[in-house]
Amino acid sequence: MKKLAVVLMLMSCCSAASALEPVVNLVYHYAFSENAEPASYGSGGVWLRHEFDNDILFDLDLEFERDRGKVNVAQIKFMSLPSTDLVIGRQQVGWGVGYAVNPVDVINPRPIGATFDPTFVRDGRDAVAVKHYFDNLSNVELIYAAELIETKDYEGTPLDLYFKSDAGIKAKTNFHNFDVSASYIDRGERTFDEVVQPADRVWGLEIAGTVPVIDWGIWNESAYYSDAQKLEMVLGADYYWGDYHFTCEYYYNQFGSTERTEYDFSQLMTGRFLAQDYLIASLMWAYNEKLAFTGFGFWNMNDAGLIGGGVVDYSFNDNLEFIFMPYVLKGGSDTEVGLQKSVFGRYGAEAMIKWVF
Amino acid sequence: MFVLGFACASYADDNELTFNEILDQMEEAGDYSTMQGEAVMKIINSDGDETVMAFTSYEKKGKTADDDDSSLIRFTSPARLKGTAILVVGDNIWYYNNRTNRVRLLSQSAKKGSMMGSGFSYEDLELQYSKDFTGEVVAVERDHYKLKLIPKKEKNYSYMVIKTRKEDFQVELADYFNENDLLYKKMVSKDFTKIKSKGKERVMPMVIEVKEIEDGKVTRIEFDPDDIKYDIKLDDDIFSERALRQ
Repeated sequence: MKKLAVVLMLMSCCSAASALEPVVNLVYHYAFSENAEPASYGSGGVWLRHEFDNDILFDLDLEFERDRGKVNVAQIKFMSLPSTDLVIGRQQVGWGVGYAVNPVDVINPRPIGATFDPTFVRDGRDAVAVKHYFDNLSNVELIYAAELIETKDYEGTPLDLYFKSDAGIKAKTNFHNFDVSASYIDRGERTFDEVVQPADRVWGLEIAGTVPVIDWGIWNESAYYSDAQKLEMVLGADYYWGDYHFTCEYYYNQFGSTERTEYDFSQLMTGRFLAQDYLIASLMWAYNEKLAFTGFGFWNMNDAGLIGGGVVDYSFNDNLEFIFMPYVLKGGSDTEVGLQKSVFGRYGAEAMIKWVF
Repeated sequence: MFVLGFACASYADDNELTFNEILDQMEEAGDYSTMQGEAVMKIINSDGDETVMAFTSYEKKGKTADDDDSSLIRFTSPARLKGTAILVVGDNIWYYNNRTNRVRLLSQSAKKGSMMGSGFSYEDLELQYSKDFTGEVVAVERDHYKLKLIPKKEKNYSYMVIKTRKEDFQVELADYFNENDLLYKKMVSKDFTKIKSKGKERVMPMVIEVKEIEDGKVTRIEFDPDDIKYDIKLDDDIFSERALRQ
């Protein structure tokens, strides 16, 4: 009943604010795996946008899952200054040119695998951002993000409050058909339960373009943590031919280890990878405009663990979508994927029905 | 073929234009500096299932033949695509995903691929006849010129055979052939309408339809004549990352 109440509340909000042309999505999830009990739940959200005199944009993106609600976006964007945008409020910050992994996406990172999830919406960060455009493809962005975080233990009991803040600057241009960005991020301390990641200074570099003649897309995204003296880097390539799109990325993670005996499993809570070398590949096939298949693999090159998965995405009509995401986990108990495998088993899947209107 | 040959014999005379002159006229017929329009794109597959998308498009031609054309397409419906936008400047395509607030430069191989599952590719968005093609006049008919157009740079197709109207040099039909000389895509323009904008009158098709021969899929783009504007002032920054993110 609580879920229904939330849905009805969202619907009534949308009706009341119909001038805002809301976009509402409702998703029914059914998940099962070899070891875990099948589970079903509802989620959804509403996105509202209003433009004031072409100069001010207001965006609100609310999301609920099970009985929990959250605000992904609640921002005001001021565009009246010449060549400058000012954004205040909870906003999505999407840095990085990588396809599946984004080392430079430090301020508002995506979880691993989000690239392949068609229902994924990025959480926002409370921030103030200023972006100045020098020309159509060159700009500089300044951002300061801060929030009070309540840490909880694994049972959800509050542990502590701490202040998390990040500040970043990024300059971007297009040079000979290559997008090139350089960034610096003053990354504040992170606390995840009892795992603490110390503050650091992060230097980022992003390059993306196409190799002439062969038309393959290539990119490099690197983040160097100067206090920890560690490098995270992605080298990638992709190609479109006909209805197919192939991507391949090598991810180098100096925070990880080549030896599985040296893995720090607590780092999994922080979203960091445990190993040093990864290969991530995907192949998407658009069978037609309604049905697309994607197969992907995350291969840990150091412990030979593998997460293989697929996405079948069928648009029944303009509003209704069916999504099926099976996965397999391969690796021993001492591998990175071993922990997930002990919970979920060797395989599982999630089926979703998504209604957007 | 006989009929075609007869038609050629009947209507070809010394006053007919050469291949390059026809290309120049076609170029001039589409020689607007800017364009803004609302359109509906319908994709109908062989089972009759229909997918409908609406978008606003902006286009600006390069000032000289060597300058890049630019276009911005912003999807307004269906709800799942609302806010998605595509910026094309020359050979580069940037894709904006509003659910992650990320702009990504696509590889140039994407240009040959389907635009949002339709029968149109990104490279179909910008055709500069004089600059992009060589070829020959295949036939001269009473009301049309029939041309074979061979792309100078590698494209999805090996060559096109088009029919252009003598009265206004609008392309009425285009057949796309692959490297095996097989027809794989057919484009038809319909509902030619006079559009008044900025004191000028232009004839433009209000419906452009592409049929893919192999699977029978049809993509139809329908423009509303009341929503098309030509040669209006469009600031350069419409074709920018800033506009893409709005």
